[in-house]
Amino acid sequence: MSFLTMLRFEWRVLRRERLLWVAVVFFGALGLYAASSGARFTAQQRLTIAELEQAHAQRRDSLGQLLGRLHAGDTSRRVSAFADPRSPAVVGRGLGAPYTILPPAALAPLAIGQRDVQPFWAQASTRTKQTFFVNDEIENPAVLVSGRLDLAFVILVVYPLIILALTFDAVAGERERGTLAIVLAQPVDPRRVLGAKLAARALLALALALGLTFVAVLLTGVSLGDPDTWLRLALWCAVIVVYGAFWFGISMAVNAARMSAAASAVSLLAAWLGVVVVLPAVAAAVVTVTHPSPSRIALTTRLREATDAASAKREDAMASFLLDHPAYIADASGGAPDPNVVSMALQDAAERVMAPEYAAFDAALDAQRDAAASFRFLSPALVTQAALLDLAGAGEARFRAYERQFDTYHAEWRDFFFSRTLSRRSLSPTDWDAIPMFRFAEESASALWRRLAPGLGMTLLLAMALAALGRRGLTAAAQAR
Amino acid sequence: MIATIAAKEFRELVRDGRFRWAAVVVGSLLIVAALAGWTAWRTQAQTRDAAQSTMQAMWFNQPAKNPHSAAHYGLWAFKPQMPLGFIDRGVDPYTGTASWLEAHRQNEFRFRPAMDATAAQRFGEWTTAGVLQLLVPLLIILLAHGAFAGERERGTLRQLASLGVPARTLLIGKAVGIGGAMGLLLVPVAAVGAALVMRDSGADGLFRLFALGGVYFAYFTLFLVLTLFVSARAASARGALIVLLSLWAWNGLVAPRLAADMARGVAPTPTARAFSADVQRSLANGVDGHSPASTRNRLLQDSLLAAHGVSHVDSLPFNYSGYSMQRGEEHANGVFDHHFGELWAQYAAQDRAQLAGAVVAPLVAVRQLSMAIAGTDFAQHRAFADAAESYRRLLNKAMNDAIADHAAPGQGFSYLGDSTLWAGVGPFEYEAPGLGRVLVAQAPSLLFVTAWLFALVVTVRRERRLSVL
Amino acid sequence: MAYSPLLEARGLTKRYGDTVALDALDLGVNSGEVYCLLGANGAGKSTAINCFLDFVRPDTGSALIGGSVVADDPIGTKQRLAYIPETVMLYGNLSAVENLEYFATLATGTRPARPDLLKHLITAGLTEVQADQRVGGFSKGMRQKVGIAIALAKGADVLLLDEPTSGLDPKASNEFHGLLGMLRAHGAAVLMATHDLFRAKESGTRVGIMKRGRKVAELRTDEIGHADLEQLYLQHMHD
Ligand SMILES: Nc1ncnc2c1ncn2[C@@H]1O[C@H](COP(=O)(O)OP(=O)(O)OP(=O)(O)O)[C@@H](O)[C@H]1O
Ligand SMILES: [Mg+2]
Repeated sequence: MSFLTMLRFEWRVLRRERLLWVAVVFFGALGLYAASSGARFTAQQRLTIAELEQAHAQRRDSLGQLLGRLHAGDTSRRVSAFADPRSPAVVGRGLGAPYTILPPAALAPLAIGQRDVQPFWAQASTRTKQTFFVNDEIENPAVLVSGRLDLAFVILVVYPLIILALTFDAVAGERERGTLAIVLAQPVDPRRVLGAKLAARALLALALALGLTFVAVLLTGVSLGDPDTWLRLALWCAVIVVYGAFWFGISMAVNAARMSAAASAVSLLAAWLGVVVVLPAVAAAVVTVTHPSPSRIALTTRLREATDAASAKREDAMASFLLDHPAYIADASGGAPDPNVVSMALQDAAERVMAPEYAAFDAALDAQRDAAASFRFLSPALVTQAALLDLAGAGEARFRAYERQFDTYHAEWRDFFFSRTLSRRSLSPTDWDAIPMFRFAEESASALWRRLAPGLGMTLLLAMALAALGRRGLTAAAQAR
Repeated sequence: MIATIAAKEFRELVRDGRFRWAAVVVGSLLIVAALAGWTAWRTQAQTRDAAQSTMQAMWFNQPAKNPHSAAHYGLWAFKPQMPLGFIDRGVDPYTGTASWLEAHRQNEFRFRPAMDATAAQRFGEWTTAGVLQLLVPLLIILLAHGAFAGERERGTLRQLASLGVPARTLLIGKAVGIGGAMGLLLVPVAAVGAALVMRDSGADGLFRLFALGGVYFAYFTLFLVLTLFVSARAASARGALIVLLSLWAWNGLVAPRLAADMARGVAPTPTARAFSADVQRSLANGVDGHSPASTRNRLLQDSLLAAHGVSHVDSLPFNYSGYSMQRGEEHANGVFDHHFGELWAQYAAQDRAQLAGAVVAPLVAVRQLSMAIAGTDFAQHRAFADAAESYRRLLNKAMNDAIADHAAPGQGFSYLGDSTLWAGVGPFEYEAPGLGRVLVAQAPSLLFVTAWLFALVVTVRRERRLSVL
Repeated sequence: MAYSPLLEARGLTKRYGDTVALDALDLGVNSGEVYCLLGANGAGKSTAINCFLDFVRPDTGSALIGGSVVADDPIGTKQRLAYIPETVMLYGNLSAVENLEYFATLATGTRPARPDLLKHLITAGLTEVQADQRVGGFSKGMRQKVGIAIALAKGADVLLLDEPTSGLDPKASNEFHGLLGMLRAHGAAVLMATHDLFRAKESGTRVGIMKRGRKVAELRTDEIGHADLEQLYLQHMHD
C-alpha cells in the first residue's frame, strides 16, 4: 500500500474531526487578520513616506524658485536669515532637506518586527546624528505593549501549536481508542502507518501555513514583479517548511515515546514552552544582563555637558577649529566670525568630546545585537524569527545597513554644506541640484542567503535527528498496546 | 471533608514529578525575571536620578544670560523608575523616557527603550509580570486539567461519588489543594519580590506589592476555577487539556493583540508628520513672540497702548518683549493643550476599546491593573508628562516675567538674569499618583476582574450534577 | 495428513519483572481447528495471543504462523491473520464500509471495490443500511461483525480472537460462533481466548487450560461433556 494511499485514508479520518476544523478556521482567521494588520502597518509607513516625499518636493520647488529669483538679483522680498536658501548653513541644518528613507521591503506586510520602534526616516541635517535619528512616530504605548500581531508571529508561535494539536495523539490516541491494535494486525510496516498518520497531519498544518502566506501575499498587494521578491518568498516558504519539520520531528519523537495521549500533550506543550518561551527568555535575559542597552539618557546628559563646556570656552573652541580649517582664516581675516561658523566650531568641539562616547554607545549597541544574533542558535524559534524578519525586510541586518548608509550619507551631507559654509559660498541653483540625495541600497540575495543558511541548516539538522529518533521509537511504540 | 480532599490533592501534586519539574522551571523563570529586571531597573534608576540632578544643576548653574536664552537652553526631564517597575515594565519600553523642556515647544517624549533592543529580546524578554500572566496559568492548567476528567477516566470519581461526596465539596477541596501547591511555588517568589522592593522603596512599595499580589491571586483563582470547571465538564483529560490550552492561547497570546489592533482601528491616531504639521499650522496663526510683525501682535500692541494711554511699547510700565513672549507662550500652550488633548483623547478611546477586550479575555484587565499598580501604565506616564509640561510652562513664565518686570524698555534681549532667577523656579519635582488614586482610576479593570470571578463562581454553583461516567 | 500447524507456539516465555506471564507455552493449531484457551484472569492468554501479533516479544521461545517465526517476519506473518480483540475498535467517524476499506487496503495493498466490501459486511451479518452508518454509534456486536468482515476481506486463514464474545448477548454470541464455524470450514485455524466454557465446548475443537503462564491441560472437546469440562477447569483452578 503506497504512502499516498495511507495519507488519503488518514485525511478521510481527519476530515471528520471537529478539532481539525476548529484549528483550521482559527489558524486561518488569525493568520488573515495578522496579515491585514501587517499590511495596515506597512501602508501607514508608505503613506508617511509618500507624504514626506511630497512635502519635500513641494518645499524644494518653492525654495528652488526663490533661490532662482534671489540669484537673478530679485530683492523685492525680504528673506529671513533662517529661511534663506542661499545659506549653506541654513540649508544644511535642514531647510528643504531631503528625507533619508528606509522603504518597507517587498514582503514587509508579512512581518513588522522592530519597525514600529526603529526610525525609518529622518530629515537630512548637519546636526549631530544622535539628536535627530530616532523614531518619533505616534503610537499609543498601551497598544504597543500588547505586541504586534503579524504573520511572522502567527507562524512563529501559533503554527507549532497547530502542528502539535493535530499530531499529539496520532499514535497514543489510536492506542487508547483501540484502533491501533487492529491496524497493526495488518501486514504493514508500523513505522509507515504511523509515519503516514503523523505526516498527514503535519502536511495539513504546513499546507495551511503556506496557503496563508500566499493568500496574505495576494491580499496585501505585494508586487511580484521583481524576481528577488520571488526568491524571498521561496525562502520564506522554505523557512516555514524547515520550522514545521522541526516541530514534526519533536512530535514524532514524543509520539514514539509510548505515552498516553494526555502525557504526550503535556510533553509537547513542554517542548513548545521550552523552544518558544523559555529558551528565548534565557537568551534575552543573558543578553540583557551581559549587554545592557547603553543609556540614551546618559548620552543626552553628556552631550549637554560637552556643549556647555564648548560654549563656556567659545574662544578656545573657535581657535582650535580655525587651526583645523586654515582656509577659513585666510578668507575671514579682519571681520567678526560668521555666527554659522561659530556654531560649527561649537558643534565640532562638543562632538570631539562626545566622539568616544558615541563610539562606545554604538559599539555597545552593536555588541548587544551581535550577542542576540549568536544567541539565536539557542532555539529554532529564534532562528526562525530572525529568518522571517530578514526575509520581510524587518530584520536587524537591514536596519543596521540603513544606519551605516545613513552615516555615510550624513558625513557626505555635512561635508557638502560645511565646506560651503567655510568657504562662504552661497548656494547657487547648480549647487541645489548637486545636493546629495539618499537612496537605500538593498543587500544582495546572496548575502541574505549566507545569513539565513546556518540557522536553517541547524533547524533542519535538529528536525532530522528528532525524526530519526522518532522513527526508531515508532516501531517500539507500535508494539505497545 | 474539604480539608481531607485538599490534603490528598496537595500530597498528590507535590509528589508528582511533573509538578516538581514545572514548578522548578516556572519558579526559576520568575526569580530570574525578577532579578534580571531588578538589576536593569536599578541601573536605569541610578542613571536616571544622576542624569536628572545633573540636568537640574546645569539649569541652576547657568551663567548670567538673557532669561529667554535660558528658556531656550531649558532642561531635560527624565522619567523616574517606579518602585515596582522591575516587576512590570508596562508601557515604559514604548514611551519615551526623556522630554526636553524648552521655550515655545511642548516636545514629545523621546528615546523609547524598545528601540535599542533587538527583535529577539522583545520577543523573548519576560518580566515577572509576564511570567505571572502567562506561564503560571499554564502551570495551573497542566496541574489541574485532569483533576476531574482524569479521575473519571481512572474510575476513582465513581468511587468518590458513591461515597456521597458532593460535587461542590470536591471542587472546593481540589481548588484548595492545588492552590496550596501553587502557593508553595509562589510564596517564596513573593518573598523575594518583597525583599527587593523593601530594599529600595519601603512601605509604599510594599503596599503596591500587596495590591499586586491581590490582583494576581484573583487571576490565578479565576484560572483554577475555570480549569476545574472544564475538567469537570470534559469527556476526557485530553479533551479538557485541549479546551483549556485553547482558552489559554486565546487569553494570553491572541486576544490582547487582537484587542490592541482593533483599538487602533477604532480610534486612529495621526502620523507624526501630520500631527506636527497641524501643530505648526495652529501655532502660525497666532503670536509667537519671535515675529512682532504678525497681526495678532499688532492687535496686542494696540490694545496695550490704548489701555495704558501711551504711544509706544517702550513707554509701557513693563518690558514689552517679555510680556509679549509670555502671551506667545500662552497662545502656544493653548495650541498644545488642544492638539495633545486630542491625541490623548484618542489614546484614551483606544485604551477603552482595548479594555473592552476583557469581556473575552480577563488578561486584558489584569494586565491593565498590573501596570497601573506597578506605576507603569499610560495614565501614569501621562501624569509625568503633564508634570513636566507644567514645569516647562512655569519655567518659561518665570523667564518671560523676569524680562517683562526687570528689563529696561526695548532692552528685553540684553537684560541678563542670574542665578537667583534660575534658582527661583525651584527644582523639577514629580510625585507619582498614590495607590489609592491609581486604583480608583482602575475601577473599570477591577470591575472586569470581579465580574469574571463572579460569573465563574455562579456558573460553577449552578452546576448541580457532576457526571461521574 | 502431515502435522503442519498453521499456528504454533514453541516454548513461549515472557516475564514482566517478577510476574511470569508465559511459562514455556507450547501449542499448535491446525487448519480447520478452533483452539480455545481457557484460564483465570491473568493466566497469560492475551499475552500468548499478543506474541502471535508481535505486540509482545517473547523472552524466549517463538511464535510461528505458517511455519514462519513471528518475531523474524512480523509483517509477512500478518498477511494471513485476522485479529479480533474483546472489542473491535474502529474509527468512529468513518462508516463501516470506510473502515473496512481502510483495513482491507492496509491488509492487501490494493483497494477493494465497494460491492466486495459490502458483500463481506453482509456475510458478517450487517445490513446494507448499517454498512453506511458511522461506526461511532455501533454496538459491540456490530463492531465484532466488522472485525469478521476484515478477516473475510483479507481472506485470513489464521484467526486470533481475544475474548471476542464476552459481553455479547446470547443471540449475538451464537451468530458470531456461527461465522467462526464457517471460517473454520473454509480451513482457517482459530486461536481464541475465552472464559465461556459453554462456547468453548460448543464451537471449539480443542481446549487448553492455562494457569500462571503454563498450559496445565489440553483436550479435544469431542472427548468430554459440558459438565466434565467445567469440573476439570475448576479442579485446575483450585490446586
Ligand atoms: N504490560 C505488562 N506489564 C506488566 N505485567 C503485565 C503486562 N501485561 C501483562 N502482564 C501480566 O502478565 C500476566 C498475564 O496477563 P494476560 O493479560 O496475558 O492475562 P489474561 O490471561 O489475558 O487475563 P484476562 O483473562 O484477565 O484477560 C498478568 O499477571 C499480567 O499482570
Ligand atoms: Mg486477556
